[in-house]
Amino acid sequence: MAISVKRIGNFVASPALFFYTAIWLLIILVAGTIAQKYVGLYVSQNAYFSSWFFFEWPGIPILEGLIIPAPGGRFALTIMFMNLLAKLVFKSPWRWDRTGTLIAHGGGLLLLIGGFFTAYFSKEGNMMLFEGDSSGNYADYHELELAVIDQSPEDYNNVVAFRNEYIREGAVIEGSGVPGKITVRQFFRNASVLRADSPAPRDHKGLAQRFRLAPKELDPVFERNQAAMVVELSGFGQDDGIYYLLQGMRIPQLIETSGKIFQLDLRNARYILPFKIELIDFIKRMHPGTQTAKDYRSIVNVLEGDTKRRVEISMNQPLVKNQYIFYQASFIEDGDREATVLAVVRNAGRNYPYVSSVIMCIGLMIHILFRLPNLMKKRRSL
Amino acid sequence: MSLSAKRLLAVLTTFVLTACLHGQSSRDLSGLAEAFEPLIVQQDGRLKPFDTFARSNLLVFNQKSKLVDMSASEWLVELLLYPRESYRRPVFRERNVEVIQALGLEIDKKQDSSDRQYHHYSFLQLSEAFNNILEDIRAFASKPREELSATEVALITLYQKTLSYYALSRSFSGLVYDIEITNDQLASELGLEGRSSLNYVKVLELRNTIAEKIEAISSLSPEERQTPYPMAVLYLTTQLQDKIRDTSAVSLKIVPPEANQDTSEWMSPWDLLSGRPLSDWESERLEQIVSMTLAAKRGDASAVEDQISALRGEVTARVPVELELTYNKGNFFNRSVAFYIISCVSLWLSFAFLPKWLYRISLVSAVIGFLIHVVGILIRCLIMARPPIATLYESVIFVGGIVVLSGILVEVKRRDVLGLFLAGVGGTILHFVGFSYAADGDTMGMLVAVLNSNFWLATHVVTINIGYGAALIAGLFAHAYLIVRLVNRASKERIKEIFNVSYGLTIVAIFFTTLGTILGGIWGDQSWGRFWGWDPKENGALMIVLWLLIVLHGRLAGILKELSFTAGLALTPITVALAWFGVNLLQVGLHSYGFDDGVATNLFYFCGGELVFVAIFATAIYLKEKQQRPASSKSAA
Repeated sequence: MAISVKRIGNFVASPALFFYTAIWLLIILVAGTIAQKYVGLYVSQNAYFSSWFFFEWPGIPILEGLIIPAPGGRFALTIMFMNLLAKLVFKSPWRWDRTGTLIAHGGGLLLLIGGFFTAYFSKEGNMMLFEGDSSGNYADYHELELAVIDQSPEDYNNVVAFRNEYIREGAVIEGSGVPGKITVRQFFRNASVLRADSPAPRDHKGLAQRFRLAPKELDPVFERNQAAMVVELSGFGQDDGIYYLLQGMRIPQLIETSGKIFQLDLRNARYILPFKIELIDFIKRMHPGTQTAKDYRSIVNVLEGDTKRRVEISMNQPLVKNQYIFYQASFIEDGDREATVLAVVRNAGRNYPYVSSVIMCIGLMIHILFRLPNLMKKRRSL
Repeated sequence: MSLSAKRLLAVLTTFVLTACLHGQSSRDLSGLAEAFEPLIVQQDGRLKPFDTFARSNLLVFNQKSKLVDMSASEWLVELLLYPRESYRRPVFRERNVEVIQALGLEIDKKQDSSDRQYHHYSFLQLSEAFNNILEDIRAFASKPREELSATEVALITLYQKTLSYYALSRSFSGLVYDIEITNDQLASELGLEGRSSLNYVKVLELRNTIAEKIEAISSLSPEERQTPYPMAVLYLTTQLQDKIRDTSAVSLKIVPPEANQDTSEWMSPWDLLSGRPLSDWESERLEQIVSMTLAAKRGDASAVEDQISALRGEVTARVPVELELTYNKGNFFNRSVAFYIISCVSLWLSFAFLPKWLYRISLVSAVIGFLIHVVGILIRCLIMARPPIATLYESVIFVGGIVVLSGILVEVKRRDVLGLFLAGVGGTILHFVGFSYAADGDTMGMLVAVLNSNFWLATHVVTINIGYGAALIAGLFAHAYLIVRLVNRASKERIKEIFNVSYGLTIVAIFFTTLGTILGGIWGDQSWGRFWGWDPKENGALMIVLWLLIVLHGRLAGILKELSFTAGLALTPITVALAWFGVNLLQVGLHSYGFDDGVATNLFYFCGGELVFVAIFATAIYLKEKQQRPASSKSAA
């Protein structure tokens, strides 16, 4: 038994396994990179790099419509991780002249562990703030939620948000503070609103009275897609009926029931921060006489309890606070008002690349020092 | 895409006016050009000497930074001071035959290799030709760019160049005294004692008086207007109408603002002639540029120098004008490539005769070329106050330096000719690739906000480019291995040594590409909040690392033998080229700088050529050695 475990270990630890896995990873890498031109980064990343297996090859014109099952990037990286681990456990010649490769492989292992933490435990989103505004939450880039907002309290709103399995056709939402039943009749990941050609049935309320939803193809730049939903409300009293919800819609869809006013909002999922950020000033500098940004930065206050701390966030200089990192990502100019867009990231694996890169480079440097002089040995004569 | 119809008509009217009977000048402008060279101009957000401005503009029109018989500064001085003569000079270089045919121009036949005027056209030729197809141009301009054919895009581009050329030529038109007053009475009423011409600066001073004169003749009958005085007023009005069209000629920004001169937008002469009230500072600058222009028209270079010195004021201390002029005149990369070529030629000749001397000449030439190359890069760093690489052009030039340095180091260590040869060949090829990028204009562009970080430019960008260079030289040694093994199989020891060098350089390349890729990830983490985003540029860098790791581990696993390892390594330049230039063709991702459509064809030929080369040589070696094996076994038996 022990022998067979060692044999399996030897196979898993072999450079041959790395060789073939790396070739496959290279193929996925090329496919996923080319695909970005046609289907955008988000679709390409999910299909090729973040998948365990995939069957279709989106964004590769010659393979369009074909079903060709293949292992995805996550599978290939897991095999590489096992390969590296097994190499270090079973096949490491603990000799001085191999110190460099051992250290470098250890660094590679750490990098992949960091990748695992990032893939499974990181949250990314953004926060848009106009000058003078403050916020204690940030919005996910891609994930959606259906928020039922009770606006009846004077000083605050009660928000119940539904994500994941509730954002699909056929989902039913009831209980959890929702005063009735919400059934998702249709869901479109990208749609636009058009004026209805004919009068809507009587049970259509709000936006649905005068407009209709027109589904659209997915935009390669995923952030440009505007999700839409057709929901049926029951148990809400006189406001029961069919409603249209559109991601980022400015006109609120309001329902009055039992003396309370509720708003339905289809929006990017929001995450609560344990503190608030207030934008004091947004500064943009251009190269003189051009439309090329030279520098942009946000002067913010970090509000936590009664304390207020003034911080500057600029390109390449993020704010790190309680495992959250705020980056200067973009800006919006709306007439005289300026808004900053901060990317917000919570990443448990953030430090791994820093440590592993140092380890790998030390390892490779030692390896070069051991190997290079011998490989470059001088010839005796011209 | 839209072009103003009014502007088109206005410019074309002037084209006709300029089609006068002036011949091309034989005027010596070298002294004046030299005087103008240190004048500071703001262009694309950067303060630069007039000479650089002239070179980058000439590159746009001519794809070269000098004309056959005059420097860029001389050309621009002529264009500014004597535009009618410059309009006849064949400055526009257009090699697209379909464009030339669409314009109805004659395709000039190349007479011999010294015929350097091949496919060159003057502004007058082009403007007359465009006049004939103006409706077509307007139709193209109203269409979305993606609906246009390549020829239509090229036609619009050339048309826009002619507009820019014209606008540039009118930069000083408000300063020169070319508004003629043809009547003594009118001259006297305008207070022009002993002078029969005005400039637009003077017109602005006299605008109320001139308006009164125009108003006065407007009430005259047609017969009364035919007398000399009203005719002179009418002629003045016509000239002013033409002059007012020049107010958009604002590309030559030479007037510094009073405050924040480094960070604020500078003004062109026409910016001071809009009729708005000028501050004391602006009035003083206006006087200086008028004096400068008049002195230039008189040919007084010394007075021009004085006025430029006064105009530059305190900015001079903060803008390294002299250094940039030295860089421009030094032609460092032209000189370094010349030495690399000498190095290669000497090395070839050394196989035929004087082996020791010619070898030494080759080595010394490569070292001198490299030193000039390094000085050129260092001066660019000093001028821009940033690390050596921020643009694709700088990247190519830097990687060329790395390839040459690696080759020289290998040569110094081993003295077996190969390192020296590959240094010369690699350096030369990359220089010419770089020159193609230099043809786009000023190579010292300002950076977008995210790239504006000297720390990351000095770490990630430099490291990944050293990695590119190391991977390329490893690939070149692999090419050499394949050639030597095919043509000279007898020297097994030598072949093994070349293999070892390739293997060693592969490890060095893995070190730098891995470090560079990870540093890039860390920069991404610092800038965008994620270490790895699967962006095409990031994937390109990872592609090189993976390819190198594949060939290395294939060898370690025994899957790749010496020949197949080297064949794989010889394909490394393909991965480098795809990562370097290829991913830009996708035109997606956050690294939205350095995009270049024209590179696709060259990249395709390069990759195809490499694949064919490796396939032919590897197969030939395999077949040759397979045939020889039984024979040698028999003889041994």
